[in-house]
Amino acid sequence: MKVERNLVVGTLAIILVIALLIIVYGGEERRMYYETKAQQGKSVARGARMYDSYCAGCHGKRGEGLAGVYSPLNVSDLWSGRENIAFYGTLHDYIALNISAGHPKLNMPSWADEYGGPLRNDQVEDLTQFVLNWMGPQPEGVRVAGAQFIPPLPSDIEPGTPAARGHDIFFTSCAACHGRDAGGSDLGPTLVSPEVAAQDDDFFRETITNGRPGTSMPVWGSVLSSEDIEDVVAFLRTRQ
Amino acid sequence: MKKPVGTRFREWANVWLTSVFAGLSPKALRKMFRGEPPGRPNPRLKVHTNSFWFHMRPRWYPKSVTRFSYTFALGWSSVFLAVVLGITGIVLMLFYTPSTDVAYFDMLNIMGNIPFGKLMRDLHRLGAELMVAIVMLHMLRVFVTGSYKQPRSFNWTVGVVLLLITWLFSYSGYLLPWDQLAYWAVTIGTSMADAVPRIGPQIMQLLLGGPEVGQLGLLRFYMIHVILLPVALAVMFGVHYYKVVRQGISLPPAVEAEGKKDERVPFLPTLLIRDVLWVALFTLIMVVAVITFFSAPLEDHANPFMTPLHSTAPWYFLWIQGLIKLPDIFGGLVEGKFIYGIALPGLVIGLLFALPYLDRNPSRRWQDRKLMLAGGAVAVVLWGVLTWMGSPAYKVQAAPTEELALEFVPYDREGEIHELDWDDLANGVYDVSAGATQVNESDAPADLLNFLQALQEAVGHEAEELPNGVTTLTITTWQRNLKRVDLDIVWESDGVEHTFNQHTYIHKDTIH
Amino acid sequence: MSTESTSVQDRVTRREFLHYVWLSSIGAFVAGSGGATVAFSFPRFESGEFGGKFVVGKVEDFADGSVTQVREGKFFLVRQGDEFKALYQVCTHLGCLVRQQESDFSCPCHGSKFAEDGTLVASPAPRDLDQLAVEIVDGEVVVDTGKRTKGQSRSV
Repeated sequence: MKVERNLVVGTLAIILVIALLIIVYGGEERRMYYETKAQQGKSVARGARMYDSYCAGCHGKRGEGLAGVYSPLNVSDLWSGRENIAFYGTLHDYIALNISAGHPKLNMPSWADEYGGPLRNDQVEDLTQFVLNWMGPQPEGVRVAGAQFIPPLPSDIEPGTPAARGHDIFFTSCAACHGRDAGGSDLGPTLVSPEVAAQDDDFFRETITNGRPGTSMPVWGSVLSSEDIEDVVAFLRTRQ
Repeated sequence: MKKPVGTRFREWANVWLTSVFAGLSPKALRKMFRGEPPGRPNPRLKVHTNSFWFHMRPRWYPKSVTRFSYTFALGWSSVFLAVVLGITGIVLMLFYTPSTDVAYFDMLNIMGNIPFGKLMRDLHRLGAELMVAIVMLHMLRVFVTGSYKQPRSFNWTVGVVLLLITWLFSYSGYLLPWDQLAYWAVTIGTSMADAVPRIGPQIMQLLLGGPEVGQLGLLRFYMIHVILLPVALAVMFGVHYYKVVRQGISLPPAVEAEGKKDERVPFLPTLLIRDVLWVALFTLIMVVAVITFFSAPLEDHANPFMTPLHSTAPWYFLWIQGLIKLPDIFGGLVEGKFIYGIALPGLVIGLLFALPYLDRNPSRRWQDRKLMLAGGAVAVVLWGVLTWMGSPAYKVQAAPTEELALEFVPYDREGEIHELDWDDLANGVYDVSAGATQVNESDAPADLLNFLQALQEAVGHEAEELPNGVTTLTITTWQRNLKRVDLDIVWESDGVEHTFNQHTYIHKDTIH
Repeated sequence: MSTESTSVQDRVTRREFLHYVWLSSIGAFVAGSGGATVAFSFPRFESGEFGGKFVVGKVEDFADGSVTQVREGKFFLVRQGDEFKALYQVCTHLGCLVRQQESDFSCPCHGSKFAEDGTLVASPAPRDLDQLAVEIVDGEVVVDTGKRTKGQSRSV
């Protein structure tokens, strides 16, 4: 048994291990920094996937939202002025809270499993990181504008009339749910069927101004002026 | 008359050091270091009587048994690994809580926020994988040298128990990171327990503490891993090693047959020095492995609602997974799951237990055991084939579109796309249909072109299954530091157009 | 004489020397592994949680003479002239949290009182309020709750 050889090789191996451990230690701060950044990046990427499945339907494929109905998320000044509504937490907390617990009256469902939704807390966190990643400067083409495409006036409406103004408002605020022909969609009923047309103007004014509890019909009275609403009613009458 | 202080101190130091070194005076120690033979009576032998740690090692070994190429130090290695696993395990316990809410994030914390965290975790994982392999190799060696025969048959049985303990250790630890790999491997395994007739569901409930893998199961697996199995191991290993020292390591069959008196190699200092050498070398190998190529995997957070493609058991259980893929030929009389998942593996383990008692041949020489050794060789080959069958390569291929997407653009694991640098991900729409020439003419970055060409080639292999196929890869900037990669395949079969899309998002910081 | 005595040559032989080097390297390895384990085991603090650093705000946000409580950090940020002090909220007597009164801090447990700059005014506490390290970084006030200096002992 070569004792001296074993002593020498053993000592060398031990010294090598010590040296390697010191080298590893030297690089640990840097490694941990990049590892943490990578974990945060992965969180954003996972959030993006979840956004596709759970959020894009309302908030749009690129976070552009649905004009006047579902807030756009791809804007850089999301939710400033939180203190004005007595929320004193961070922006992160505000977004996470909205996703977790939903937002009653604005048709934002509660997504966290503790509030009856399908998502675990870490999934909510991934989504929050993804939404937060829309803050700050973005490359070209990221901030897609919401679909507010307003088609030309139909031939039976004179420009400058209340119905013409109502036409523009309709395509900005109503078409998303009630369909571009006002004939209804999954999100909102028809506004031009005989039964609906038979209702009087007050019915329309009241529904638009105060919304309809129990449905997704928002309270437009806080967004549109009474003149705007008159114009919309005028426009609808031309379609019925 | 009192002696001078210096002398009294020296005498006291002598006495104290002698007791610290378990009976070796400083002079005797020096003699040992100088390689001189011991005096009489030999104080080095007393060390084995006086010291707890040294009493567990023999005073000497027969020379023929110390040859590395005889035992390959496999039994020794498994003890070394057990120590490494114990130390790294305890250290990891400082930062791990067995809670389904928190466990995964503890893993992220260990990797990203604790100095040496990744090293400790990787060492633990490497140690575990090596442990299973080495324990099985040790069993194979003992089989080949016929050392399981009398008078060591009982010890072989204890060894099989240790094998089961090792497997359970590895399997219970597997669940703890609470990622997709862990969750689904354990779901598969425990649902096999379900197949045991009559008491299966109860066994499963006992293991899981509930109807499915969840918080209670995690806690139980954790307890099994850190207290139950360590205690069982200590007891069983104590028995096993005690028998080894008392009965001695079996001599090589040729030497034993000759009956020659073998030269004795003393433990102190010769074999102790060799032990330390092996510790140093093995540690060095493990540390180098962990620094260079070995990394413990961590997939996405466990998701009970989605089983990833190609979910597999850990490699040492792939043979069982291979068995399960065999056709169910029992005509509904018995569940295939039961025969292949419980009965056959149970039979194999039963045979292992009974081996020394079934083997009536008292000779250990290979010339007298050709049939047994051939049987062993067949068993090893069979194990290898079943292991391959248990891997995703056999029979669990998903649709060709999914397989393509899994290899090139996976969203829940690393794939070919993740090999590219951030700057290689040039935005654009790339046609990689079979026969398309866009890739060759493009001025995209070189690595991206290589990727696209590989993808195009893979698509070409599937051309039969995807007639008139058009395949495009699209790279878009989705957000700051976030790109989206889409793989779209459109093909026609039976006059119907089919579309397939898989996309993944890549964040700049996740690229190394 | 016992047969253990080494022969005339007390010189260290090569083999003996190798043993000493070998033993030293083992000692160094044990020390190193111990160090690695300690480095591993030492808790690390996230910024924003107690034990880490708190970015409290811009220097201009705090008026001269102001006292701002930071609850998660367990301190009061006090500005006197151009100097910032972060007074650790834990009473130096037995560990209760002091409360801000109109002109001083008082402890609800045994009645100790401290002036607005942390000086001990009424016993049974034995020393002034401890202080946490304050730094001005890029015009922002950063308090490191991991670095604490004990207050001066006093008897009142």
